[in-house]
Amino acid sequence: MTVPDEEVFAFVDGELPAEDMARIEAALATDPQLALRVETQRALRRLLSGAHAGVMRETPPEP
Amino acid sequence: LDSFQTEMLALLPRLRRMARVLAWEPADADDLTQLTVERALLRRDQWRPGTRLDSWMFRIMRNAWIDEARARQRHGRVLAPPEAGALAADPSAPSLEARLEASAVERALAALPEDQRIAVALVLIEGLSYQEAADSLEVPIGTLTSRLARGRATLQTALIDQGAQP
Repeated sequence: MTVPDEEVFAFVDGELPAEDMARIEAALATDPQLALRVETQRALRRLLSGAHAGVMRETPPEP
Repeated sequence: LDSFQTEMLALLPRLRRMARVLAWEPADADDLTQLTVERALLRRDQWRPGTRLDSWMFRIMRNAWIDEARARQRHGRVLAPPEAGALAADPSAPSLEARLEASAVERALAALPEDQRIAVALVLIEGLSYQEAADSLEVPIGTLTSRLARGRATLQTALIDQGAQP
């Protein structure tokens, strides 16, 4: 199955209609190339979730 | 405090994080957060209850940042490029590995053009939907997804393809 990059992104971001989410989810089991692309994007999201995390742990100055 | 103010205060950590994405220098970021909060309080009657306060405040912050950048240019001040010091590893992070990793991610993010950096931050860090992020930036959804795609490609090259991750 050929899945364009933007569709892989939208899948990982939970932005596809339910039927397309299900179609790609099902394809992951049999398409290692697609599974790798999805996992790469998930890894990127995990990395970014740590960006500037220190400021989240600080007590904000009084507004 | 009324419910608007309470909800706004609860957003402060996320507003400060977004301000770091935009302004880099901690002092500038806190000034930007302060300005955002002041403007939000002034315009609170423009916020529609039942809609997301975070998207609305991110829009105010982005516009405040644009105003601030213009004001600095008028006064001949050059916007500070990301300095090594400001991007140094977060000293309060739990481990050396986490600190080094956060630093690499923040550097890669810093290197993105601002439009792409904000799109990436709103969707991939803050978890806004495409529609919410597009509304925050006041651009069509196609513009948002295109900036997001370009930002992702650059970050993937910098952080994943060149790393030796399994």
